[in-house]
Amino acid sequence: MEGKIAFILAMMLATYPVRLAPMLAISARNLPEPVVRWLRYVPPAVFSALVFPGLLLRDGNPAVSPSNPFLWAGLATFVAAMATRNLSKSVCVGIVVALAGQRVLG
Amino acid sequence: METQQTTTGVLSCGRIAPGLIRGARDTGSLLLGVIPVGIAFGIAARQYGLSAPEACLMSLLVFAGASQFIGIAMIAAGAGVLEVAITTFFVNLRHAIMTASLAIYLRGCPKGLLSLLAFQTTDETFGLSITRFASGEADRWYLLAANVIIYATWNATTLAGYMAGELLPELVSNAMAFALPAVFLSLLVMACRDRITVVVAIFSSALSVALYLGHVSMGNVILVAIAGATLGMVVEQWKGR
Repeated sequence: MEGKIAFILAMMLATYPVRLAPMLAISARNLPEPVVRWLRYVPPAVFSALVFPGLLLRDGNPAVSPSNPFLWAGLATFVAAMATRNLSKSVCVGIVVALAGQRVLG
Repeated sequence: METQQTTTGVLSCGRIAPGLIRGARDTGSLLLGVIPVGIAFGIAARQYGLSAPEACLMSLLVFAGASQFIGIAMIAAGAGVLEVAITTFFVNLRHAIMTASLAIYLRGCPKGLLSLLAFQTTDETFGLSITRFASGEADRWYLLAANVIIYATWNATTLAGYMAGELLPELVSNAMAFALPAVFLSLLVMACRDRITVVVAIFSSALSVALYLGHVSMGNVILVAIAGATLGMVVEQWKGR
């Protein structure tokens, strides 16, 4: 137990300052306007990086094929998000299609 | 741009309740994404030999999904404390760019509140609130409500997964693994507000997949964020001329 507590505290020390420092530093001053505009393009880039490797790859190899149920679920989520602009609805659509896809393809 | 920021600032200094309520309501849509991952972490922590208090302590103090999974796997494989800390640092470096993006909307916030907001920042609450901040629908209380709910859920589901996670049918837990990608894909669609953001999204998706194919998985998100946002700026500059 004691040994693992050291790991947990070390992980906390590697995590919290990374989140805290930019927030304290940037909220305290007026950033130059180009930096503010640059930061506004961060969300679409981050979301893309969080989604697509998981959808298009399996264990680091391309998995773009009709037998990948998450690809169908991703397509359904995309269409639902375009149509409804509603987070809950499109996530539910995605999960239902993922479930159905695994039944049929898995 | 300046006036928009000032307006957000004024709004966020006002009443507390409306932001809290809106934040709590919108966070409901994230729960489907967070609950299965929390349960999966509880199950994994048990399989990798952590005690229940250790698993809970990690979720309470570290509170970072991906690096918790990597951390327990490394500990089980006999890695050293420094090695685990350095890996965690790089896996979570992306949070620096997220709290930096949030900070432009948190001007004038007391340090104590900022410290709490930073501690509980996750991909999910960043994603939800940054979209709403940009449209002027969120304030600091909105973010606080979202953060606290996700924090409580992550910790509750860690314990639940540890205690009873194996009772879940495999088909259900497999399908639930799609919940998180679905959250970020939906947020991406909503973040594509004009042609430049669509270009940024397509470029970032391609770059991120290419990096993975080239076996660059650590630091992937922060690299893509920097490259994608810079491309957005360049295109904007070029179009404005």
